[in-house]
Amino acid sequence: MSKNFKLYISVILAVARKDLRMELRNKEMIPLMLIFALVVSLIFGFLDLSFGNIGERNMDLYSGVFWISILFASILGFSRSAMIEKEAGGLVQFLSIPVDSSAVFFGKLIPNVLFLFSIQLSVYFFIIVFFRAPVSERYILLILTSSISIIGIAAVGTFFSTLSAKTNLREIFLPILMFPILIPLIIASIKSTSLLFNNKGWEEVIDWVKLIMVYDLVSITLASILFEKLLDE
Amino acid sequence: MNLLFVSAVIICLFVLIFVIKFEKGLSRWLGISALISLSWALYSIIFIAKLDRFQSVPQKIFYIHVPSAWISFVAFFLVFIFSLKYLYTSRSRDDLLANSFAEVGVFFNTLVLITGPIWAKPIWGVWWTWDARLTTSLILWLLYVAYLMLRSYIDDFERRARLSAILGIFSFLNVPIVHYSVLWWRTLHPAPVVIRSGGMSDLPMSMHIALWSSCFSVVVLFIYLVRKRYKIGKFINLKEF
Amino acid sequence: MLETVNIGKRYGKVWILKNINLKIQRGEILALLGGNGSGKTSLLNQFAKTSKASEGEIILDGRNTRESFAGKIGMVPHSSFLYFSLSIRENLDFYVSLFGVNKEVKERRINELSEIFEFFHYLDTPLRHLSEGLIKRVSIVRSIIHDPEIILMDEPFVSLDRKFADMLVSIIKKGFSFDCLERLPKERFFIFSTHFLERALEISSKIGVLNKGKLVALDEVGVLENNEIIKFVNG
Repeated sequence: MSKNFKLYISVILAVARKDLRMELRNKEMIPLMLIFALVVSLIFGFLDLSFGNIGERNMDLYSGVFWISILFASILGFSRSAMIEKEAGGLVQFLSIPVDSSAVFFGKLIPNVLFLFSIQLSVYFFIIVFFRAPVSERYILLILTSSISIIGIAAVGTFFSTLSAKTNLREIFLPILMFPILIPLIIASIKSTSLLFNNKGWEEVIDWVKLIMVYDLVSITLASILFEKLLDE
Repeated sequence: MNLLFVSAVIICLFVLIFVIKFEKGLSRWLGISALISLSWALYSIIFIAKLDRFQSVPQKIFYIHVPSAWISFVAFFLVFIFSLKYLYTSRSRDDLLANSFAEVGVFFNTLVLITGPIWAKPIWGVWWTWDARLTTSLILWLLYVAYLMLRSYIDDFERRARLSAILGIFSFLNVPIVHYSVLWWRTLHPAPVVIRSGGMSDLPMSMHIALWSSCFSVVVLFIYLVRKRYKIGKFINLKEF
Repeated sequence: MLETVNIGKRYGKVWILKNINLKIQRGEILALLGGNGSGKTSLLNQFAKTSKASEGEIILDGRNTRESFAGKIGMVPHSSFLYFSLSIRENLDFYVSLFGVNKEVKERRINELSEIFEFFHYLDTPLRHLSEGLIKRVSIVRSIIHDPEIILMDEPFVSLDRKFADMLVSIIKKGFSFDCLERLPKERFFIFSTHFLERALEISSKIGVLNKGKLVALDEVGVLENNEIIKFVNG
């Protein structure tokens, strides 16, 4: 039993390592996602300015900017990641490995979480710069909270990008698949970061964070169970 | 009111003639019962149910709006069940049923989204309020549409069935979370008049009659439409395979 | 023994495989012949378990579940399933680590096989810079590097030049016996598809001929008349 488990973990790590290595070598996804997030933040920055810095009075705006940047950047990133696998015919070959296919899912999930995590740090940076938002220890809580959401986005993104890679239309289709499913996560994430941006107490935020954690758990469990069925041809 | 009722009944009669002429067997009985119960439901909605004190006539939309919402939710649940079943059995019948439930379900869901604003405008003055239940209906609609769109983009039968089954399962298990997140986010909907913690209460008998008649006719109509869709689907499959 | 019982596969209305029944014993080499679109690749995909049959089953030593095949298959597909931005070593490393091969064994195998197939000096070059023939050789190495019981190759001689084609022939005839691989030739199954009749006759012990998804001939080499085969292969 332990031998199988060790193999399971090593497959996860091998897939994760491979994806990370490929991204570091190609440098396709991250710069693309980064530029996109930058442009979105910039546009909102212009909006904020032309409305007389409403961001300073109502910091909910920051929340909106943040999540829009992250969500659209992630769509780009996930479409790309699925395409790479499809080109290498990689998805089918994972069927004949001696461990459960969910290992491949987790292996792909980890790099995606890491990519999104670094993008989110950049978006926080853009917000601070463009909106001249005040910096405080709040940001540690913010980063913590949004990181939990990001795990959910990455799980859904990894799963559905693989699914859409199996259909004829790829990037076009991913938003239609992903967004309705992500809505509860989006609502909870916007709410929780809004509250934190507006310096509200943790007691108010904690309920939303619990919802996000439930969402993450459900998505990851479902995705790992159904992943094998996805790979079938 | 009378004019509306009479014209509705005339339409029903026309359709009744078609149903009797062209349908056979169970479909015929279902079609006839659907029409009869619809007529009765309309009658009870318009003439039996008492006028609500505050909302007056627009409130009557509730009798169509609520059962449609219920049935669209049940339909989505059935999509979930048959998606699971398909993954287990790989029988095209299960996939076809799931699809039929989805198509008819989205029809009733669309009805909910149309009657909702029609109800909202005279009552709250705006077409759309980010009311919890209506928003959840909208999200459900989006999930339905994603499911149906996925199906339309895949040609290969086996792949289509399998991938949409996966989507069906994922989407449905998301629904409880959607419900809670939207509920916490917005709480504007008139407190559910029918189902409260105490059970059915507060509604006068006449309204109950209208509601449950409407509900019954919606269910019969639903079954009729699903069977029809299923038969059409089987016929198409036969031609293609 | 590896056998298919009434395997059929369809896409929509079209049956690309129908009523495929064949048996192959360990140590045997089966060649699949047939024109374009005859179903050779589809049948190989069935053996590789990368495609689910619409009907029928494949049985290995009496068992037909996916788990009983897991880890035992190595395949050279028609178009290589390799990552072009990674080097040969990284590709092989990745693939082998999916099968839980011990690190030293893995190193030994990569070194020995890359020497034999003459790409040792390119181990750290990204695949996108390498020629088609070299990539094919890497693909071949990848299919055997985890020492599988069932080796499948889809038209392996395409894109190999004379030298390497001959080398592959002799390797196949010797049953893939390398120092770094533990399995004995008589334990393995080897199935491949090809257009080249001469190669097929040269290497295999059994020949199966496919035409429009059906198995029209299956027998030991020598039993089938050459011209019979040619008739099926060309039409």
